[in-house]
This record gives sequence, structure tokens and C-alpha cells, in this order.
Amino acid sequence: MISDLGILTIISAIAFLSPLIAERIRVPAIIIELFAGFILGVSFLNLIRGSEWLTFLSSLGLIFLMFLSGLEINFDLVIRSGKTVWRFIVYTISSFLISLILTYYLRLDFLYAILLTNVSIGIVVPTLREVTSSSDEFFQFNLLTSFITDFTTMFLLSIYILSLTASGGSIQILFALAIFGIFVVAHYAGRLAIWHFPGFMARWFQDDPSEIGVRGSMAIIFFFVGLSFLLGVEAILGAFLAGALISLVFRGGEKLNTKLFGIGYGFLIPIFFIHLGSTLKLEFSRDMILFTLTLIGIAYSVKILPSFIVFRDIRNSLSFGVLQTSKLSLTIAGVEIGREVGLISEFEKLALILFTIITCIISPSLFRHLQRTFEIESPNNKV
Amino acid sequence: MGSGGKALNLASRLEDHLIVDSDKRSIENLTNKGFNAVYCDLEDIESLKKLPLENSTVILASCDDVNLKVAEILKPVAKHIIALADSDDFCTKYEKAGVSRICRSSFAALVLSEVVETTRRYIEIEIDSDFENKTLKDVDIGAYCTIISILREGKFIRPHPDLRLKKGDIIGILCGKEVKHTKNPFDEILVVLRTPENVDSLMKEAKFLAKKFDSQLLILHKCNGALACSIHRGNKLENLDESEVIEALNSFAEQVDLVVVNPNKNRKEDEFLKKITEKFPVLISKQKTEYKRILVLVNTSTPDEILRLATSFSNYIGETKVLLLDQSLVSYSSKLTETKLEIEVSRGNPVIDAVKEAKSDYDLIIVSYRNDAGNIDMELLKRIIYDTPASVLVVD
Repeated sequence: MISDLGILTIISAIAFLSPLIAERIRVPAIIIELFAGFILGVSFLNLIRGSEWLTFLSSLGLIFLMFLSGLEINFDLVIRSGKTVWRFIVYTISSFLISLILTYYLRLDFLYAILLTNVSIGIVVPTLREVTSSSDEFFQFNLLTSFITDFTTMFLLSIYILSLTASGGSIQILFALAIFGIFVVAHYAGRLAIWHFPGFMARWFQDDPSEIGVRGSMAIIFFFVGLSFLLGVEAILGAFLAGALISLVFRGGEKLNTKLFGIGYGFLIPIFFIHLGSTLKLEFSRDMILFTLTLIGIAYSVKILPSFIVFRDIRNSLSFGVLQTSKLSLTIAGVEIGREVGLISEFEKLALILFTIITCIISPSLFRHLQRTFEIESPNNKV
Repeated sequence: MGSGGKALNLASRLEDHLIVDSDKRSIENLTNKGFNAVYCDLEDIESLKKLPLENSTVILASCDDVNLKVAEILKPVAKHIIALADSDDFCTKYEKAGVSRICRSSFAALVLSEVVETTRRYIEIEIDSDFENKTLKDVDIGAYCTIISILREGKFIRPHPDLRLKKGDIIGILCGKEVKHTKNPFDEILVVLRTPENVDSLMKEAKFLAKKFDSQLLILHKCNGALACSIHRGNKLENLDESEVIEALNSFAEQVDLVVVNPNKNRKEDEFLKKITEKFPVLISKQKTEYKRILVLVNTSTPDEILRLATSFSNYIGETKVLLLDQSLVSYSSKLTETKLEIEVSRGNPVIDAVKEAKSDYDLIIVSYRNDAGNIDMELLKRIIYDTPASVLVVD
């Protein structure tokens, strides 16, 4: 029997080593964390067992994951895209509609339509950086589409979970929607604070020994998480809105973001993935493989088909659609939440995680291959 | 006028020159060396009047006291009078004496800023001990010229304000009217009197600018139901509506370099500002009579225009600070040679740094309405434009 501190030591070691291993074998660190958790968890060595504190830290990791996803959204880029924003919106809506039709046809839950539309910015951005410059139109189009898709799917997921868990019916849903009203008010309050107290607000982004910026951000996260609890909304929506609020009010500020990413990706988020991996039960079967392959097929259709609306040539449409099929952290978070509220079975959870791991490995590789095969022309003239 | 080092440097570069001095021995020496030199008592009115100076450019290169006297005498005869001032204290006196251009350093004299006149020209000058160890920002090369390269020990160095000159450096200088425009940006300033209120203070600020930049001032106003554009304003001013102003300004394209207006009280003029700044820089006047401290917020990804203005205001008006709101803009700072600009890059959050700085004690803020760098929220940008006590010069 390993003590709690022993488990923490193992988890910290995995969290430290996983990015180093991931770099060598060229896969995202999350996959190593999930795999390590899986080996050390209930299916194999059974070293990591559920305990109150581990579940708590894992929940905190999920909250931070959602918070950082909100923080990563570059609203400035979306606002500045001006009239061209319709292209990204058309793509996201079309992709969601196709996903909805296909999942409905296969009698899958609405959650699938959301998860199959989702995309991982964490995979898209580094992959694009490998092959194209950030000022390139194709890069910008990909990035903006990812932001809009991410925001839309997280919003839909929260509303969907809310509609399922709200015991008081539509009145409670309306009551819960007040969190968006509070978000808007907080946005205006933040703007006023910048105008009236710029000296104090500047301390958030300076090398301040008391780390006012980190403390302030933590206060905002837990204010929204607490508010979610009071209003009967999933904590992930509160955390996501807290991140989006900081991103929208401050529109950048490298130092603070770096510190927050350090806390999240450096400690709490790996715990979430390792813990999640440790809970997975190995039940591979022919059905699971078939189901996973079906999901992969739908996921690529959902992303590639609508790309023909915004691109007129097969080269750009294919490579864009393939990269947009990359799933990872948010999809896994959605799977975990779906399982918690009983929307999906353990079988489906494992299949969805398997599907996520496969897409996050093959999509970037396929994209690179397509890039090498076709010399991609700028999408600017073709849309 | 004069036969010292400054005069000789100039004369050696000019084919058609005449050196005039009251030192007979110097004149003799210069004649022997092949210069066109004549003796004349520079303090004697009658002797000066006899000189063949019609349609010529007179360069005053003697001491300041003598230069001033000569300027007074030759004002009616010479086409242009340029003074090479020894001291900044004399600049106002030179202005009053009708000198068209004052070069505050002998470096400016070296590059013949005013003499170069119409065509673009490239000049190279070798640095001697007089300019050794001076930084580029301490060097005044005049309004018509700019330093574009420095050749040191066989290697080209990109010029920047803090670059210290060394003996033997070869300075590449580009001169011409185009350069003058980048340094002295407003030939025509149009004051738009949208309402009869605060007209005097608006005019005072516009006149201050016109004087500093030697610009022509025009006034757009409505009087007796008719729209007028003239150098004088009518007595009974009427309100001008937004569409009338835009329509009138459209017809001024290419003719006006700056539009000066009072801020609109109801603030609902986003479209107005957007449409106007696409064509002209707009000064939102807050009734300032001078600009002692100027802030330039570089919030555009194409900052050439805003940096050009920063250079001009720094050279001719007041202490100027440039705040670059994006790290990617740092490369542009190397273009700000020969200026005394204080340049800072936002290290924290650009929005907060911009607001914090804009709310400090500045008389003028220069900012871009395009706002595509530095992430300033548009609402906060409008607050900077309308709610700060400083006048705001808005460019595209």
C-alpha cells in the first residue's frame, strides 16, 4: 500500500518526465500522462487509487484546464477579423450541423455532436507553426476557426449539461444563465478598473513579489466557480468564463499568462490526466474498435466536408479539415463530464478517449504529409 | 558670409558660390586656393548692398551678432537667407530678422539642407574630430536631410539615435523635398469650426502648430447658411453637421495635411473619425496653447506615419515619448535617427500601460485609430481620445 505522499511523488515524477518522453516520441505529453496513469491505475499495477485529495486535485486540474482554454482565446484576433468573421462562423456552424445530423442518424447522444465538433488549439497551433508562418493567411484562418469552435463547443457543452442537471426546470436554466450577465458586468467593471486604477492594474503584469496578478486571477477563477455552484451551473463553465474574462479585459499580457500556464500545465492539469488514465478500465473488444473507427470517420467528415464551403480547392480543404479534426484536452474533459452526469457508459468513455488519442496523433501527421504532397496556396484568393 | 570652417565646408561643396568676408588676408588665401571670394565689410550697409546678391541664397556663417545685422540688411535682396547659428539663444532673433531657415549646428551646414532644394540627392560626409563621440540624436542635419547609412571600417552600420560617431565614419545622407515632408509634415492645416463655441481657443492651438511647422492655416466654417473655406473666419458662425464636414473634406483630399477640430460633446462620431482619419490626421483640440510633453502611442502594425509625426514633433515642438505597444514594433525604432525621442516598449500589459501613460501629464497624445497593434480595447481608445486632458492627434 503506497501512502498519499508516495502517490504524489509518483504523479509528480510522471508530470515531470512526460513532456521529455513526449518530445522524443513526438506525441503530446497528455497522451503519456494518460498512458502512465492507465498503467499505474486500476487496470494494471493499481498503485494510484482514488482518494479524496487526489480527486480534489484532479478536479482543480480540470477547472484550470477550462480556465486556461478560456484564457487562450484571442478575442482581439476575432474582433479584428472584421467582416471576414462570417467565414469562421459559417464553417463552425456547418461543421456542427453535419455532426448533429450524423450523430442523430447513428442515435448517439447530443454530447457526441459537441465533442466531434470540438478542436484542440494546443495541437493546431504548434503543428501550424512547424509548416507555416504565423502571419500567413492559412495560419490565421486556422487559428481563428479554432478559437470560435472552441468557444462555441464549450458554451454548448455547458448549456447542455446545465439543461440536464437543472432540477428546477426552465426557470433554473434561466437563473443559471445569469452567469453570462455577470460575465458581461464583470467585463465592464474590468474596463473601468483599468481606466480608473491603471497604476494598480499594472501591478498584475509586473514582477511583483506579492504576485498580485496571480492572486487576482485565482480570485476571479474561484469567484466564477463559486458562482457556478450557487447558480447550479457546471464548474467548468465558470472556470472557462473566468479565463475568457481575463483574456477579454486585458487582451494579452505575456507575464501573467506565463505564470498561470505554469501553475496549470506545470502541476494541476497533469494530475487531472494521470488520474483520469488511472480510472480507465481496459475492455478492448471488436465492438469498441468498430465504434472508435466510426467516430474517427464521422470526425473527419464533420471537419473536411464544410471546409469545401470556405475553400474552393481540394488541397486547402483537405489539409484544413484534417488539422481541425485534432482533438485533445477539451474533448477528454467533455468525456469525463459526460461520464460524471451519466450521459455515456464506461465503454463509450474508453472509446471516446481512444478516438481522441488517435485523432491527436494522426491528424497533425496527416496534415504535415498533405502539406508536403501539395504545395498549399494561400487561401486568401480562393475563398 | 564669413570665411570660417563652416563657410569653407559649404563652399567646397558648391560649384556656384561666393565667399564674402571682412578679413582681407583670409580672402586672399581663399582666392589662392581656388575659391570665389570677395572682400566686404560685413557691418557696412552700403558695401553689402553693392554685392551681386539678387535671387541668390545667402548663407550666414559668421558669428551670430554679425549674422543678424547682415540678415536685416539683405532681407529685401536675397531669395533665401539661411543662418548657421552658433547658439540656440539666437534662434528667435534670427526668426524675427526674416531668416528662412536656421541650422543649429555646423553639421546641418555641412549637408546643405536648404541649398539642396528640389531634387533628391545623396551626400556622403566623413566625420572629423568636431563630431567625434556625438550621438546621432545630438546631430541636427536640417529639415531636408536624413542619415540613411554609416560606413565604419568597411562595414555598414544601421543608424540609430544612440549611435556614437567615430572619426573616419562615412555618413550617407539623403536630402530632398520628400525628406523635408517626413520631417516637417504639415504644409496646410485646416481648422474645422463645427460649432461657434470655443473657437478662439481652437484657433490658438491651430496657430501654434502652424507657426511651429511653418504651415498655411485654412478655416472651414459655415456663415450665413453658406459653407466657406478661407484664411479668415466669418463673424456669425453656424453649426456644421457631420455630413457637411465629410463632404467638404472629401474635396480637400491631397490639399490638406492636418484637420483640427474641437471634440464632439456627444461623442457619437466613430464613423466621422474613421472616415476622416483614413484621409487626414485629425487633431482633437483640448484648448492647449503649447505642447511641452508629447506622448506617442504606437498602436498600429504599420507605424511609419505615426513615427514620422513623432520625429517631427520631437524636432520642432517638445519633449516626446514614444510607447511601443507591441514587441514586434521594436524594429521600427531604428528608423528614429537624429531624434531626441524617448522610446519605451510596453513590458507588462499594453492596454494598461497605454492608459496609465495617457492619463499622465501630457499636452498632446498621438495615436492611431486603426488600432491593430497593442490590443487596446476600442472603448478605452475612445476614452483616451475624448476623456484625457491632452489634445489628441489621431492618424490612420
